[in-house]
Amino acid sequence: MFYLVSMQSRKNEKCDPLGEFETLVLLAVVRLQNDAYGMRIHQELETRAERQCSYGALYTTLDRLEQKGYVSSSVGEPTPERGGRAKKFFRIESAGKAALRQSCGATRRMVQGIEAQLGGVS
Amino acid sequence: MIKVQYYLTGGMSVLGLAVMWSGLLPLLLGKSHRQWLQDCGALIILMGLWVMTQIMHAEIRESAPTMLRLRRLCDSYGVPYSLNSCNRWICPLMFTTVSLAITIRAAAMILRTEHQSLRYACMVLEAVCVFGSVIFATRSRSVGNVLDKLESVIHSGKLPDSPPAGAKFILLLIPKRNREHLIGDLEEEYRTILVPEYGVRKARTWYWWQVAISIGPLLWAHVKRGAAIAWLWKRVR
Repeated sequence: MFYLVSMQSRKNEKCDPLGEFETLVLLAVVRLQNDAYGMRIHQELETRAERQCSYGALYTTLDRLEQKGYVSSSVGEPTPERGGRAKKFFRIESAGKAALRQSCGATRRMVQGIEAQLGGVS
Repeated sequence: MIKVQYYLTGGMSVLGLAVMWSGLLPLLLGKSHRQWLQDCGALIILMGLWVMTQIMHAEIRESAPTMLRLRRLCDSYGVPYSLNSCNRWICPLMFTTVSLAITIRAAAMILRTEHQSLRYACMVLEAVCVFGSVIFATRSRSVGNVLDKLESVIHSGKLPDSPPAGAKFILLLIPKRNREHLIGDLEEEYRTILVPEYGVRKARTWYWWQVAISIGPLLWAHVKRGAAIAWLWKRVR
């Protein structure tokens, strides 16, 4: 029991490190706010991040993030252009925000001071 | 005007054939006369072919916008447009070969030469002309087939931009948890972005590609989850 509680508290302090694709997906969810569903996230990744990915990979990642408690999902209304199928909207949770902060912070700290060597970071 | 041209072509072909066959009457005519008549008949037929090529050329030029509209219609209804663009080279080829054949035949007739190589060259050119005519004939039949398909699709009331049914069927393999949303996302992108921007053919290819690359990760995740549950169950027992 004690072990479980201590593990939980440690988990709260430090969350699982995010992978590159997970970070991009989370950033897309944050960016899209209330309109974050599969197609829009896919579009955002393709246009903004210039990252080609399959819907399969995207949904697997979103499922993983949901299991970790970084995002939550809700089902929207069905629309005719989707053949009467409902959208699944995603929202970032506080644990997700923390993980994102940690991941982005680590990248920023690592890049700091070597921008010139990288030829300028945009 | 076109009708007159068609009658002219038909009349010339019949006349040419008649003259050619008359040249084969060995009992009535001498060898030199026979040869002359055969040349003359072939020349009349070639001139008929030349007129026909000209008519076809004019018709193709006039029908170009119609064919373009047909292609667009096929694209929007997802009917494969299987017509090749042979018009660009067939008409000039036929013009050239017919003109060459006419020149050679006329030269042979006027000079009354017995040179066989000229006649063989002429026969090759005529064969090319016949080949061109056959291509035109098959093309007309293909247009008919495409129109038939288009008509059946329109009458069946199928939506012009629905994704391929086969691919949607494969997507049933996806775990139920994400199936509806994933199919909906694919369909929305297909209908709202891909079809208007790239046309049905490319959109369908994209859809199939997405299905092919999406099914792997989802099934693998499902298998892993199943394996983990089985392992846990084994441990608990």
